[in-house]
Amino acid sequence: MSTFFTKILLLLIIPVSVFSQKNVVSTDSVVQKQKFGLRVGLDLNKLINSSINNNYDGFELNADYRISNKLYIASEIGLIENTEDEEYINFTTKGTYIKSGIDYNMYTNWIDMQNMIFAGLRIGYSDFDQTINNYTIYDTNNQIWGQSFIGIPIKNEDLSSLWLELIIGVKAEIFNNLFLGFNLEVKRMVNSEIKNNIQNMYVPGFNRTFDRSSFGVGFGYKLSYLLPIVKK
Amino acid sequence: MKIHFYIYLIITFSIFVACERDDLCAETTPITPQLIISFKDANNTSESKVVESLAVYAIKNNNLILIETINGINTDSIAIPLRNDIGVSNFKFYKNHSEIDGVIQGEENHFYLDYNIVDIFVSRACGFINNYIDLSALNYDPNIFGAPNGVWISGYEVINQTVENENQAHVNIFH
Repeated sequence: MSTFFTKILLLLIIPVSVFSQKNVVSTDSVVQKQKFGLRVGLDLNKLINSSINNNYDGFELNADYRISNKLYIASEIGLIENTEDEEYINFTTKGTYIKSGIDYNMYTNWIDMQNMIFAGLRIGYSDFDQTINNYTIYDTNNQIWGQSFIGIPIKNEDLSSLWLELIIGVKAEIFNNLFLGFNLEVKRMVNSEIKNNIQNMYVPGFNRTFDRSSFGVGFGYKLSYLLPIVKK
Repeated sequence: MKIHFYIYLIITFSIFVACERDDLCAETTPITPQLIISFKDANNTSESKVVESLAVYAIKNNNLILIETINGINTDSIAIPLRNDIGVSNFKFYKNHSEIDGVIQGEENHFYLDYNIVDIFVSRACGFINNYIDLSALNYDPNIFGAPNGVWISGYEVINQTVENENQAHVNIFH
């Protein structure tokens, strides 16, 4: 848990400390000043899902920081506990994730606005545990002996996954410095460590995985607030 | 233009991923195997020998459960399911089987199987299947003192102690 908050802190501090130095050198003759600041937010989708779904608890903080006219560095960090009940298997995945990358704004703003229609890239990484809570043996000939239900959990701890993510989305300023955004994510697993030959069926940040493909999908519904740090 | 391209890309990928038929347990995935038994001639153990009118009952909690596919057939090989909740299966093999007024007729022979169960993960949709290892057999009921040792099953041989597929026989029975 403490590492989770350390990650959040790092996430919030690093972009500011690294990129604020650049602003000193700005000597161009542009008259209009633009807001360059840190935008921090929450994924509402995860909050709503947590409140209506008993099998899901998720929380995500996100931040982006504008480094040039069109380019933002962006990151998300989150915590998810998710239980899925399939026909033959019930399992719980619990862990944290971090995603880092860039967003490219394709929308030309009016002066002093930071609305976005963007495409982004992320590298995602998750640390998690996957517990098989119970399962029913899949046996097509079980009419004779009956179904065999096993309630002894199988716990696979300290698993990790690494993936790449393509994002497309919008962010609109609904009040002064307050943004509401929506985005779609397509992910491709790069590496997913497994234990006991049990597939990682869900990965925090990546969402569900598929047997015959390394792709995944997701979406976010994000509320964020811009802390204007610099104008240039 | 660029935006439209990206949106198109994302939607296409989403549909592609969402349409993966992953929620159904595909028939091509591995299944929990049955035990394959070959019947051989006791006088010439390399020769197959058909059992006339064979019926096989599983014994669970002192109840006899007829395996529908082996109900008075002439055959030299059968596939029978093993019990998954404990590592012991008991069967009654009947030769020249018939049933008259609910009473089972024919020559009865107990067949006992002992094994260890291994749970093997297959997929999200199928969950786990069982394989069986360390298989051993007896042609009598070890729980009954002085049980007849092989009425018509004069001998047997475990040729494959590991049951992980149905490709070849695991046990030979001589009669």
